[in-house]
Amino acid sequence: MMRTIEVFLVIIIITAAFIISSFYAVLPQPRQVSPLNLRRLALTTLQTLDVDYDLSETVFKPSNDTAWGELQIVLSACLPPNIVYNLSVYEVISGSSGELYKFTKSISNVESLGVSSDASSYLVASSNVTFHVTPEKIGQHGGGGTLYILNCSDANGWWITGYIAQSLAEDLYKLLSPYFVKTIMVQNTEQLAQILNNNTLQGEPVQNAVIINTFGEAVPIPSAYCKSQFSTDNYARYCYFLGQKVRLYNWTWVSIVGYPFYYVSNKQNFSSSQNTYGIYGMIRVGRPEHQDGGQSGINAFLQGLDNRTQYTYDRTKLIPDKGVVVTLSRQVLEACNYYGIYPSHNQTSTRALKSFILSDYNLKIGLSIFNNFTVSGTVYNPGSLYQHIFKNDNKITGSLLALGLTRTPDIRLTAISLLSYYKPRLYRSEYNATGTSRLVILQLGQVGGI
Amino acid sequence: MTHITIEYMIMLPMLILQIFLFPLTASWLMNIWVDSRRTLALQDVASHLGSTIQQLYFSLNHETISAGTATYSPGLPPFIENYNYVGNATLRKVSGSADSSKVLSITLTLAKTKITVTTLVTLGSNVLWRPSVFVSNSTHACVSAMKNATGTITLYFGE
Amino acid sequence: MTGSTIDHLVSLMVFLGAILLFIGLFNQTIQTAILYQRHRFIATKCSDLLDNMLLNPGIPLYWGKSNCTPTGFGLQDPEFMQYKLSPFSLMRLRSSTGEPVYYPKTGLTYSNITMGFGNFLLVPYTKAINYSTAASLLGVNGTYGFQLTITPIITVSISEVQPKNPLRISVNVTGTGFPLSNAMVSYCFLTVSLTGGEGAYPAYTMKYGNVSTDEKGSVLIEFAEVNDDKVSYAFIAYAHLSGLIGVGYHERVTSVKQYIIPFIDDLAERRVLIAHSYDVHYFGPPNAELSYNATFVLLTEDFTLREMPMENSTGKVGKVNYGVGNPYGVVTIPTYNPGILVITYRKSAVEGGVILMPWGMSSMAFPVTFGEDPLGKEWVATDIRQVLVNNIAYQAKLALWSLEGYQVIG
Repeated sequence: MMRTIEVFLVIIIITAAFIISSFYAVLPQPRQVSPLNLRRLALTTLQTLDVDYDLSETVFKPSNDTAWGELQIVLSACLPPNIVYNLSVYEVISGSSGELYKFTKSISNVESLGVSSDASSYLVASSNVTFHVTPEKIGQHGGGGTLYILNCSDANGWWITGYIAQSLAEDLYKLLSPYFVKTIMVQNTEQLAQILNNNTLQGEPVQNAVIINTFGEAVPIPSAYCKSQFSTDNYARYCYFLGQKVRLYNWTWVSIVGYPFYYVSNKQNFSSSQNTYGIYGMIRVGRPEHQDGGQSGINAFLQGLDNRTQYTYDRTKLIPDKGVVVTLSRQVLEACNYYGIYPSHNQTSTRALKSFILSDYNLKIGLSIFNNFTVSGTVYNPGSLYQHIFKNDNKITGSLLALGLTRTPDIRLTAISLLSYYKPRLYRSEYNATGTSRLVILQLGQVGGI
Repeated sequence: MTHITIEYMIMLPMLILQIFLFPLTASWLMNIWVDSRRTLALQDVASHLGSTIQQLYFSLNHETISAGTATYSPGLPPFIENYNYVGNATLRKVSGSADSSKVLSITLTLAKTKITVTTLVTLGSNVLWRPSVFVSNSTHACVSAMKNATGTITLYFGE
Repeated sequence: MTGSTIDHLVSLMVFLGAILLFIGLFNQTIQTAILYQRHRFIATKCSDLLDNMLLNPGIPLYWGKSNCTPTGFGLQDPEFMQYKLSPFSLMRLRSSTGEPVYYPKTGLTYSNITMGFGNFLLVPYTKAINYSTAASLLGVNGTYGFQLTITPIITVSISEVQPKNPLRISVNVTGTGFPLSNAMVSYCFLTVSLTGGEGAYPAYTMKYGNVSTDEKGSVLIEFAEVNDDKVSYAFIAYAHLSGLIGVGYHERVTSVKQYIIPFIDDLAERRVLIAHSYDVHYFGPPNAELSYNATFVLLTEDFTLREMPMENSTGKVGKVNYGVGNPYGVVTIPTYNPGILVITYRKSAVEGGVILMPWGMSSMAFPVTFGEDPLGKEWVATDIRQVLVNNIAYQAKLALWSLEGYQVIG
């Protein structure tokens, strides 16, 4: 009998131990076990509100501005109903002594957020501050860095109606020279001949350069090449020679408008010739008896770029029959905001190039400036940067940037195309002027539920 | 008399057995639970480390980032129940093609125990892994990523 | 003596029984604690997994705009950083809520997101990413189940209050928590014209305007020029306030049995098939040929819809009919920028309508539900993030649960 009593005593003791341990071993609430990541929610909410810099603008406005009411409406609308918030704004004070953050204003939808809240901070700058911007130079880490802008005083342009090549060259210089290690205006066709022979003009590296032809559908030709061999087929052979040089020196040749290599121009050597529209000093490329001979220029250039051993006269038409309204590609649209260059999103293209040139001439599209389009089952690229890459190779050997748009050229398109391709970064200096930055802290808590 | 002898023959060995059996059983059960807890904590750490490496890779892989090195301290606890842990990783291709994605297999081992967990992270084809070891209680414990001019990203643990 | 033995036996049995019972009870408590720790791990895993999905663009980078199966799963827009998602990657997720649609003329089944009559997004299963593929790519196949829902933060509800003389349309703008008062609403009102002889194509006119919501988030818009309740129209509205943008739409059509259904055919080539509804839902004879006129509109920065012309050779206008021998029409969307494909259709001089299809999930603020249903699962951890899809504010929510069947035993 005693044994049984002892056992019951033991059971009572162990039960008491279990009850006492259960009293202390309280399981946490589900909300504590599986909480929402309030910190990330707060951060993403602040980022969403600042997508168009509305948050940045509001926090610098006076306390009684209606923008604060709008901010409160938007916060209430975008957060779930069981989330309470407290948004506080602090002014960042520069200087070595005193407080770093001075409280400015706070908005909230509840008196107390409870013990399990979390917060995220977000630094905003006043829109009145002008940042000092230092652009990265294309080529500063090696591999070129020279920009040649053809500013030849002894050549005429075509399809640059309303401008002259020299004014376009000046505008391009202002837009692009901060982004290149060295920007050189090629002042005449003699200097063009120098660089074609791999001779520098001012000690710059000639290889891997970018050359912008500001003469539209015409291309300047040095006197040294206004003679036999290069004059074959009315200087289509010269275009082939240019293609070879582009490949040899790994240049990026930029055609700013219209049909590339349609005319050649040298005011002295062609003083008595005109391009059939009354502009002297210019000859249309291609055999005169062929009305469409001008199309042989680009074909010859591509042959040279592709290192075809034999030049062939080829006047295959590369453009569609009619004009199409084209839009900038998403990549270029985003670059517009980054670099602050805003050409119109829509342009008219009458000189888009057929995409079969990609396979025919070992080209790859390095950048689509405009979205391509299809006419009668054929795909055309109205504005692209074509990289020449031989089969079974991965090295770029020459590039062509062709903007097949209708006159008049908008050189902002040329600038934004090059910047979208090379993507030089802009380094914005830190701002430290008084009153230019504010710290926004969004604290979130959960109510209701378990 | 005989009954008392039988009683002692049965009861005494049982009582002596209980003196050994109960602590052994309790110890065995507690080991299971403690191992379970430590494995969970190590899994948590491994998952977080894998996630950090993946986000570091994708941040550097963005086309606006040119060559450079980024180092990130993942904020992991140096000890799990007073034991440090050591990690290493291996990289393998998903398929045989040249531009196949790669999978980084990260293995963490809790020191002085047999607890090991593995986590897998999917990365792009332009990634390399430099053999290195992650020691949780090292003052230099971090994850580094180095991007070169060709766009290849080399990942490794800092020590 | 006998009593003593029985006493010993009974006490021993009771003691052993009690010990086993208490071991079981303590074991249960500790197992529950371990289970809670596992649940805590699921919550951390949920947060990490959500960030993995939203902060990486996937492999290859532009998989959303191609037909290839990705080898790395990610929804971030490759042209941005932070929580900005690609509208095209979202389009390629196979919806787990809509009833799949089978189109006999292609022999394919299509993932279906339909937001009311006339608002379709149908992506072929051959081009859509299914849940098990995504789970494998994320490395949670067999260990965790998940459901990802991406819903617009701002809901713009549009209803017709009066059909004619004048046409009155009510617009209500609400957020997840509260109405969006004093929001600017920019709208596009597209009316369909069915005039012309037999076989003529429908025409359309577009009108734009701006209004503001009141303190309840509502506004009433009148169109005095609509004096016939048989006029078909589409009304698309963008509500915006302090960076938050929402989209709403409403159509009125006069031909509800025979209409156009657009199917996405090729994401890389941006090809859309124009199908007759009778090939999908058969209502019975008589059937009529439908003529259609397609256009594509983009949302600009000032919240107007800019029309992008589509060439006739790519199928801007055409005719479709039901049955064998009547092929579907094909249109090619002229751009990779997100927008809305607007297809006006004409059955007769008095019957017609308009269909809208988003190109890019955000264009019509379509929601996305991807994954399994968490209903009935033992423990589901959730986490949410505010994200942007082409500047439209969305909320991304991930529900995660373990598939390993851990539970308390004993």
